[in-house]
Amino acid sequence: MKLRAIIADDEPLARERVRALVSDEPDVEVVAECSNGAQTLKATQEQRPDLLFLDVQMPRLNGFEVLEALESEQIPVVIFTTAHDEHAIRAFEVNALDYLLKPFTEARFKAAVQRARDQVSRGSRGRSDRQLSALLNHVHTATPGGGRILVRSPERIIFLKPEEIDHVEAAGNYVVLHAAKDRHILRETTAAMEARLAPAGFMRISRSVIVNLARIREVQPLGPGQYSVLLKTGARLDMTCSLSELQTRLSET
Amino acid sequence: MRQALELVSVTQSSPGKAARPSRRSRILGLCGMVWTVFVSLAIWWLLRGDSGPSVYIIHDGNSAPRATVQKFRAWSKGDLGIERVYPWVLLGPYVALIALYFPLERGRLRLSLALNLAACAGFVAASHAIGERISVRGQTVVFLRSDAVLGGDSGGTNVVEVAVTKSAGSGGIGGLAGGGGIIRDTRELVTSSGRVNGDSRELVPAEVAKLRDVSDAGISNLLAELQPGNRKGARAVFPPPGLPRPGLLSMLLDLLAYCAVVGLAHSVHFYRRLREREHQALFLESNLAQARLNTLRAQLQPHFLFNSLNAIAALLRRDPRLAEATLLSLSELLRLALSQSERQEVSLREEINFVGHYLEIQQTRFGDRLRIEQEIEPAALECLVPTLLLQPVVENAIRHGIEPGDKAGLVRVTANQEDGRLVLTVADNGVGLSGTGLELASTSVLSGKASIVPLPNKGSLGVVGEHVGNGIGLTNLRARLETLYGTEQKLELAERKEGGVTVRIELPWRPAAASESAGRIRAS
Repeated sequence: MKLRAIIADDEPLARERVRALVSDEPDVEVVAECSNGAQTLKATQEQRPDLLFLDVQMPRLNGFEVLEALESEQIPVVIFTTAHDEHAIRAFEVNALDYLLKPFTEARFKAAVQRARDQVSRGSRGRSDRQLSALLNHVHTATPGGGRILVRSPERIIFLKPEEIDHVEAAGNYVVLHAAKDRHILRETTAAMEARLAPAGFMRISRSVIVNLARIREVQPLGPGQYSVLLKTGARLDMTCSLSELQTRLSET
Repeated sequence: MRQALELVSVTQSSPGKAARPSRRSRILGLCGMVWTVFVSLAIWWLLRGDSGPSVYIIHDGNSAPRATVQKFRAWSKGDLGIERVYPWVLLGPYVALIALYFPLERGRLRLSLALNLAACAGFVAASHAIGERISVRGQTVVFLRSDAVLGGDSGGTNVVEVAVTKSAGSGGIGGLAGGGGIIRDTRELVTSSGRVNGDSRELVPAEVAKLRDVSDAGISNLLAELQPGNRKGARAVFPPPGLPRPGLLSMLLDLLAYCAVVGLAHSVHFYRRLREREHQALFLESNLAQARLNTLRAQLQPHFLFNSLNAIAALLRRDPRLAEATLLSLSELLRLALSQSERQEVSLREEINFVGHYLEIQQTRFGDRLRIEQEIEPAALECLVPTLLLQPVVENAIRHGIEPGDKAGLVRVTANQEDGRLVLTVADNGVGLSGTGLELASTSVLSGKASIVPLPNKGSLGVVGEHVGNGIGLTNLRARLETLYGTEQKLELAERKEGGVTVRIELPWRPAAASESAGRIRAS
């Protein structure tokens, strides 16, 4: 069985090196080479390769964002390559993912390809899926400001900066991101969203609502110990946390 | 260089002063005002009419060996008198101030010399005038002569002889007669002579009282009366020996005093200057060391280093020669970055050469994605520029302009002469300031699988660290330029309309040959 592979790296010589090493592997066929994240995303969606050599630092979308933008069933077996990115390396280590440090030796490369080959033949997607989502979570929390949040809708993919989000509401297994007039639905838990957004100046004011503290206009008392938060956007949200908690957070920011 | 250093020292000291400008200058101003008021009062007091004229006492004038003593005493009251110091003390601070602000040194020697000469003349004239006034008043002289020998004749009753001279402009005899000081002095005389047995106080008031009524004409009469041999063989010495009005000697002394003050001021000034230079050199040294470290960090920056090595590894199969060249460039770059050269300035040729190695490697790494243009005026190559001037700028352009984008990047380095100044620019057509900053373009819309138009993005991991690191590079460069050239330099960062960033640096145009010796800060 032939392995169909895509090489993604912004440096031509780096791609060349991977290609040269791949040419020694008779069962691996390079179907595309990409020099930036967007190209990689597109090529992966179109070609549906078995194997992706993915450079972490690339223009437009970095390697992680490419993976995030892909549907989980579109994600092939990934071999990350990086020259030096401490955060990324830590993320790989933590999630026990294979990666190649440039410049890599032939032996190291062969070993990585062999492992990928095994994975593909075993069809053990499930495990790598979990690993990848754990990796992305790790990357999100390790990135200052939470990084950009990728939202996928049937027709498009949007990257939202945390400061663009007014508030987040839980809706079953999903969360709804309110950003100005737009609503984006994301398959994510409120707790995960809270963890990701809290460093960017967000606070969870009730079981189902996370609010951008910078958007709060006023807090209105409803009854004894009950308040509602009025946002600059006009939205009114019930608050179940204590007022002092909110004040503490507000004074921090 | 010297001029540059002057400027440097000005700018260098200005931040320190700026930090506590009003307070220090206010205190100094207040001190100056108080002093001036004090000086005015003192001079008024010294020059004011007649109050307690000095009383010169010569007793026993007939003893020849005493003449020298008398002469010395007279001197000590005159040219060498403590009074001569008053004007020096009073005017000294002003002289010192002038000397401090206009020291005699290269640069504005003519102005300083003229000012100092004028100040010198003024000082001597003022000192002389004050001294004369004091000594003139002192010339109302009372000679009291205790004729002990004759006194012995009169059977225990001491006879005291008094002579008064009055020179022009003095306070007159009236003041003398009325002054209580005379009595004291007289008693001193009497007791110090050791020949008086009676109570001097009984004697003297009578004598003084005799003077009280005398007019100027009366004094003449009195003097006549006191002529040698006129009365009991008394001998008055008149005019007093060795009691000159301030003359050439005193002016010489004034001049010496002036020179002493100016000398002191100069030593303070040059000491300070020395300290300042030392400080300066130290600052530049540490700053250069910092720049070197930053450059080194950039060269050894793992992202650059390992990607370069990876590129070389890739080239080895296809193009060993290019691989070799790249490897040599890299080694040269590292060698230059590691070299411990102390030079603050190098010729632009050297700097371009250094940057060239860096650009070569980047060119190899990025291939078509990076184009480099250089447009250097040949004459500019020989100009002196600060060490590691272009390196951080070019590095910035590539790392934050070209690398994050994916279109064909262009870095353009120019150097030429404009209005007698060296103007260097490094321009790129990359993602610009907004793209390089932490403000990443946010909403990138990927329309389905067809056209994908996301905005430029740096790898979101580690962005902050990189930017901080680079900020230091340019900040360091700015500080170094300021220290080296003061206001003679400019470093501007501007976004280009067509995209990308231009960094423009203006420096004094100084060909290396002309200022070779001055090119080394340590030597100057």
